[in-house]
Amino acid sequence: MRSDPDLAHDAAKGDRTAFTELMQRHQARVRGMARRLTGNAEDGDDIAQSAFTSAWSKLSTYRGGTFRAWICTVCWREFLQWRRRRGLEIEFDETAEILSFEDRDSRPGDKIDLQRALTRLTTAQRVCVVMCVAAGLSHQEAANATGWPLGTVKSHTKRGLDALRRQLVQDDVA
Amino acid sequence: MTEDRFETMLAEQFAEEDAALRGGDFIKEVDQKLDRQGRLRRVALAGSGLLGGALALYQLPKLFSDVLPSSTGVTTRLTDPLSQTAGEITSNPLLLAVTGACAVTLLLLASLERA
Repeated sequence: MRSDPDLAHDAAKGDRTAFTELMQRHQARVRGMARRLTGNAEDGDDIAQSAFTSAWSKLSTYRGGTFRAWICTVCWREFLQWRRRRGLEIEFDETAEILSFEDRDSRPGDKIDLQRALTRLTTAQRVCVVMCVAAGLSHQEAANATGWPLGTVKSHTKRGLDALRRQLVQDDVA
Repeated sequence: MTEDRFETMLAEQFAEEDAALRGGDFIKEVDQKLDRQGRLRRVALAGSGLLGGALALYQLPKLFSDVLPSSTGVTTRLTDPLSQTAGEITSNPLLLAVTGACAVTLLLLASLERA
């Protein structure tokens, strides 16, 4: 099986088959990331689509490393543009009120309802948990993608995970 | 539950959710979007090429004016309508603005789109 950098190299030369293969490999992760960041499936898929079309035109800027981190960075930038169009800023204040998102994807069940639980985090915590836990980026990769300091990413991830764990315990008790 | 175990459990659950997103029309839709962009790029490039070609053709008589006798025949028939059109465009500010906007848009599109 060909590696992601090989496929990206060919795709950068205009090979659509190679790009389609890359999309097949990464679409679920990118869509999942975008859906979790936005809080709903429709906007998430729109952002993921924009991320891939944008990736196609920017493939020449991919300089090796993990393609996963690169495509997630493209997705993150599309997410930022989406937020800017809505006049939203990333809130860093840990004591800030929890932003409410439309909860179209919540589903009941015996597992922790991740989508609902994520919406209860602060935006910065959610971003870090989505990138570092759900999308599987390292803290460093997430810091590079967002442009936030490494320590900030680590602390928001930890606080986000703590908050999710507390929610899990509460859900179990309930 | 330890922190690491909890994180692993979450990652697994996220991965499970992501796996359910495989398939569907997502890739097809992105492909169609890229095809549309590709067609637009080709039109923009062709338009820019035609515009550039027309400008070059318009400048040809001036370029060869020293070595060729005064323009007659084919050259005249080619350049006169162009000169006439160019004259009309430059004498009308509205036409000039529209032509300029079209040219800038085409050039921007051509430069932004991937080859």
